[in-house]
Amino acid sequence: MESSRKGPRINIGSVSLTVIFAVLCLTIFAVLSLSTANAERQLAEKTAQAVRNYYEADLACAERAEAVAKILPLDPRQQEEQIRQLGAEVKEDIVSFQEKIDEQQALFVKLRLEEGGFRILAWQAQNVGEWSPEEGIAVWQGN
Amino acid sequence: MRQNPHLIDIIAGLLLFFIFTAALLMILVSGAGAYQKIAGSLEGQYSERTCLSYLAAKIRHYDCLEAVYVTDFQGINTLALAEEIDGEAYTTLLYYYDGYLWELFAAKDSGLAPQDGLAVLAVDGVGFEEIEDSLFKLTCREGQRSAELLISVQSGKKGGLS
Amino acid sequence: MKERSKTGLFLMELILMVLVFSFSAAACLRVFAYARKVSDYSEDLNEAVLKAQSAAEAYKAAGGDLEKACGTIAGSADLKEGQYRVGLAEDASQPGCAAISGGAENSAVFFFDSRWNPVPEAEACFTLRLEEANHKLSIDVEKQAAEEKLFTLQVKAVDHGK
Repeated sequence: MESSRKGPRINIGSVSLTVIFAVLCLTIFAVLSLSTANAERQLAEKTAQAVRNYYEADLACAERAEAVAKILPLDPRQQEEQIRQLGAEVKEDIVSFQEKIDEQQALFVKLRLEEGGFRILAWQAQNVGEWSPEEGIAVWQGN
Repeated sequence: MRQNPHLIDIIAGLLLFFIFTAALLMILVSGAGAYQKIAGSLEGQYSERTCLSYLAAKIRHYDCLEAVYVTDFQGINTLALAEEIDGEAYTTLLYYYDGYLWELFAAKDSGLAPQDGLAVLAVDGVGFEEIEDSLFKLTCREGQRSAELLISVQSGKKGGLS
Repeated sequence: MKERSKTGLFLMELILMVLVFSFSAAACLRVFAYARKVSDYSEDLNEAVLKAQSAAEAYKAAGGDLEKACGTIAGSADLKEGQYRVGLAEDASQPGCAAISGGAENSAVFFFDSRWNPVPEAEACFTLRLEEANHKLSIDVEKQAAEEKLFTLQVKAVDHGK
């Protein structure tokens, strides 16, 4: 009887296992890359939209300020009435109005009327949305 | 007489298997490299963009008369944002220190040190410069990358009809 | 009894797996390429937003003076002296910026390469276009040979005519 001397050999299925592992790894990398890039794209688009919102409010405020300047040559009574019609508040020589930026923010503008025009006292973006504090307890911070 | 007729077959088979595995490994490594490049580039962008957006939002929030200025805080280039609360003057200082963008809110001339602030964001460098009257240049560095943003302060300006 | 060699079976399996892996790798490569494209778009959008914002703020700080605003933008982008001028339509060869002015409408164009460095028009990949009409500035950032604009803004300076 021949004693079968079996030399080194690869079993059937080793290649399949290796390829399955490799395909799995490659797929995981591909999916991770895609999800990372997608998340970043969404964030970039949100940022761009936030900037657009701010400048739309800024433009609206600038136009309203220009409208206030056009009213200045009128006599004081008419001035106040016209300024209120623009949606602004008048208190002595301070005109203030606001323009919504988004659900959470608004642009607040304060102008002081002077001869020949006005001086900008404030042009502030402020939070108008509701803020609720985080009430969870920090259990573990990784240190 | 054939001597070990299968030995050549086995060696050839093994060789093919190893070559194939090596090729698979190379492709896997390049795939991992591609993911690393994408993730790395996005991480760098995130720090810069977040830093500049944060600074811009802060300046716009404090845009009123003489509230925004660039100063020196114990030798560190700092952006100061002043405000008054209940008649007391307070300043928010934004500066780069020890690998982070720091923020320190304190009473004016409180005598606090840079490390008394709060580390906001990890970056490699932040710079503030007033290049013109009411126009600030914000610079943020992350590794080899650098980003700049110009922000103007509206308060204090005169307006009228053109 | 002769032992049948299993090498033939092994080789067949190897060939089959090479085929399977090539199909999978081709699909994954497409995903990598798409992810890279999306990542590049995010990076370009972020830079476009920064550049447009800076241009808007420079215009506001200049009180609606487009020429002054372009000078500020060029200065902060470190364009060399003498390489930037406003108002000469023929001078598009100057690296970094060309400005076209005519009548009541003024405009300026800045050119950038794929890494957003200022370059002459011939090497431009991105353009930052500023067009002023009725004291309102429209800012457009576009990629060459792309139909859609990357980012647009409109801004008005309050203190013009001082």
